[in-house]
Amino acid sequence: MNLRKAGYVVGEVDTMRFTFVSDMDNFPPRYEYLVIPGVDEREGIGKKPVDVLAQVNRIINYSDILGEGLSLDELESIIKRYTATTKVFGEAKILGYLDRRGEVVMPRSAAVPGQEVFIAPSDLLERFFTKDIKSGILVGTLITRDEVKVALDPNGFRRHVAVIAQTGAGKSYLVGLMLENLLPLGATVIVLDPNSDYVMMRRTRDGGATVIADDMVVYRPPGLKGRRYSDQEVGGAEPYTIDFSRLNAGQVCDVAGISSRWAVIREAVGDALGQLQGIYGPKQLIDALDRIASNPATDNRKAKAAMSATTYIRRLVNYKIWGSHDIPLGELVKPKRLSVIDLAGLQRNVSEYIVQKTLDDVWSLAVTGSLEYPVFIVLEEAHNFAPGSGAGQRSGSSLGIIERIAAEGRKFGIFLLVVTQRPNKISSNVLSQCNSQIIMRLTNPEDMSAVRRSSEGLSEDLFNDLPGLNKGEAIVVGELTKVPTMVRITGRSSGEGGSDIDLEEALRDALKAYELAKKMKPEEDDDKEYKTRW
Amino acid sequence: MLREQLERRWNVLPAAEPRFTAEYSVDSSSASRSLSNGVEFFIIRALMLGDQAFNEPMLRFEMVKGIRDPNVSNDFQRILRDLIEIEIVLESLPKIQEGSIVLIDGNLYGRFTHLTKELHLRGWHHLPLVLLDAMQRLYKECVKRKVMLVGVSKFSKTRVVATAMLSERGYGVADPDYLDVELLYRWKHGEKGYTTPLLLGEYAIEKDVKNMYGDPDGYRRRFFDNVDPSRRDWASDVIEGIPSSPAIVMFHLIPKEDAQPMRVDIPACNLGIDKKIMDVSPFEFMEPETVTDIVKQLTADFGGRDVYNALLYVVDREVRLSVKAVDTVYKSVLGQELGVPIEYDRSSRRFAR
Repeated sequence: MNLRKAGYVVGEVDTMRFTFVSDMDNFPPRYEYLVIPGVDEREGIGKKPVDVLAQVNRIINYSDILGEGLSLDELESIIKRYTATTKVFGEAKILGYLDRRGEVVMPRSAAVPGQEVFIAPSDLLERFFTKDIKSGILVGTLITRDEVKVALDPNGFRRHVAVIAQTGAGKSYLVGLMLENLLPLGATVIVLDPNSDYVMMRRTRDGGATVIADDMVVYRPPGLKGRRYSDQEVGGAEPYTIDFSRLNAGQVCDVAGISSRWAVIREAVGDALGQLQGIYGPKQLIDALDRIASNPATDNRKAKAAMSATTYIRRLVNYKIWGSHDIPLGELVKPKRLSVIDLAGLQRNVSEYIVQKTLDDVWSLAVTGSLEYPVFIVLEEAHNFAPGSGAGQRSGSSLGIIERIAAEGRKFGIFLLVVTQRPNKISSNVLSQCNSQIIMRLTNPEDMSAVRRSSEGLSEDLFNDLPGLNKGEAIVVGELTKVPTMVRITGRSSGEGGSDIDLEEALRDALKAYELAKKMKPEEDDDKEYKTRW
Repeated sequence: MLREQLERRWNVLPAAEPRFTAEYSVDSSSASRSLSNGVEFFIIRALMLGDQAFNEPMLRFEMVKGIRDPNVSNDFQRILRDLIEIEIVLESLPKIQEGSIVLIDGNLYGRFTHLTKELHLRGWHHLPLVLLDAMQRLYKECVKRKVMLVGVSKFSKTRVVATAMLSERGYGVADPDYLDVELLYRWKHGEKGYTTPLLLGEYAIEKDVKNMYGDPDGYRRRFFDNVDPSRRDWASDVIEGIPSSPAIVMFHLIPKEDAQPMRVDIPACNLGIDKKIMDVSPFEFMEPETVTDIVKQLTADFGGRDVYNALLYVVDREVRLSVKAVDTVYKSVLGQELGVPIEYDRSSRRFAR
């Protein structure tokens, strides 16, 4: 093994961490992997030498000479005369060693001061961090090693997975990448996509077709204006509408925003629905409520409730979601199928209803034994669909089924991939069930605390590293990798919907449009459709 | 009267300016530990740094048994420190450019004239003469290689300038009550400048010079009687050489207003003055211009209250032996070398210079 020396173990060493001295030419960067060869590990009464892998936590440069106690003049007099020696030492946390079976084991014996420390070779890192490279789901490379690929263990998805990061850290890119690699393995994936982040996955970045293009379907309500990407841009979309006449009273009230505490109003809606038959829509429901309100036989209290209900139901008239194109459930649960349900542009309560309905449908299949293959459900902006008690918002209609799937879904082959930027606002019942977590840059203290509470695999060191992660870097904890792993996410081939806009270019376009409009004579055009790109 | 004399012997600073091709500084540190077997072990470390990334360390271990008097232990350490500083310069001179300046922490005249008695330590009685011998060689080598050797003391308790000024006015006070720094504090506090350089000759060894030169064997018998017989001839030679060693030019420098004075020593031969100890009885004032280049250089090196000289400050910090280093690194290295674990005695005090 041709190893590059990083320094020597010094000072107090325990089985969890050590300090090493290095120099300006050879010091390893933060997060670099080190190996201490030949650490004597106790085995019964004997000893065996093991190669202990560690990761650099801190690198410290210091000078005995250029101390903070010196004045500026004093410092300058020294700096002009002499190149002060910079001393370098580092702190590393021990990750373990590979036993004969290739499993990662934490050492029970400490290294000895004076032992040499080397930069860990790539082949050791690959064996250490990747369970099975052939069927693994490639998500990138180690943060400090471009040549060491990191593949997630597909079996790690047997537990629910949470992808957590603040906005702009690269969550959607990562999830898209995982889906790209999960799909060819035969996975059935349903993406509930409130921001059109995944609708472009049929297209490569340069406009070609991705390898998953034929296995992916985008569902979106027809007729919505102002989408980020047109149907043509996403490579075609299947219409998705809700048959209003199939909604029960509770669902209608939830969609309309009628609180569950307003029992009389909800009762009036139920009475009105009872008068309707066949195919109908919100307008017919309003007529029915009007009839109840104006019927002299109706008692005063119910008449008032019916009047109030019309106010809410009237809002639904303008929603573009009503129609008869329900998503065929059989299509959603087909093997090797990625179904993206584009919820962008829909009212919040409608989105919640769709999430609830989709999950209810899949759950019904699962508990009746009708689900042939495992289904992975990607829940983007999960804090909106499964808000926790600290979220400061009403519990959505989708919360119950999400919590249920989080608690019991894996027994029936339903696996959640929960994606959120506000872990503090998501139901703890959901987050705590995500035994594997992929955590990207987080700086909000409340969100960090929520992650800490929910994650068993996140050590103090890793937790402290969260704010220091760069865009596109992640810490994987749980069953997806052998040990917590720091990954630079890379390798996605499909187009992204969730990438940041080029604001400079957008503003330039805006200015051009403004100047053009100034030159032209203003005209009335109510039907003008404003096209935006975000 | 002393105030008037000081005004006369006070000189305006020339503009600060580096005057030498390269600059080097030397310092040392030491530590000792008492072991459980009655042996005392000493670690002496020296470092020579240069402004052109020059970095030369030297390390010495000594183990001595039978030391009871802590003063002897202290003297032993002090002489070894002075010696290792001289040795590191001697060893490094071939690598140093002509026209360079080497700064040694401490005064040169003092270390030279305080070595005229043997050390009361068995096997080491001759040690002061080893240092004297090394210093004589160093002075010669510096002249030969055109390297300026300067001793700089950040604090000095000498009275020699006060004595010389009183002597100028006809007062033959051998040991006045005033330290030089007291005079400078009284009357030059807040000013910058330097005292007129004094050439120091027999001043500190006036009574012994004749014996050293005229009867070195007799001097050896009297003051170095316990030196090993095999070293006696060599010892007499060294003693004989003391009076013919170069006289030392000495002055006090205040490089900036409100700065504390520092004492500066230069072998006269380095300044082109061919005067030996025995040629100067006991001291004489010189022209201030004799030391202009040194003053310019040292003023340029001044950084502030703590950094009285940039390079000496750095080497002082770099060479320090920490308690941790002594009790972990050096102790274990020594144990490995000796093949036995090193164990301190119970009373061993741990301190670092």
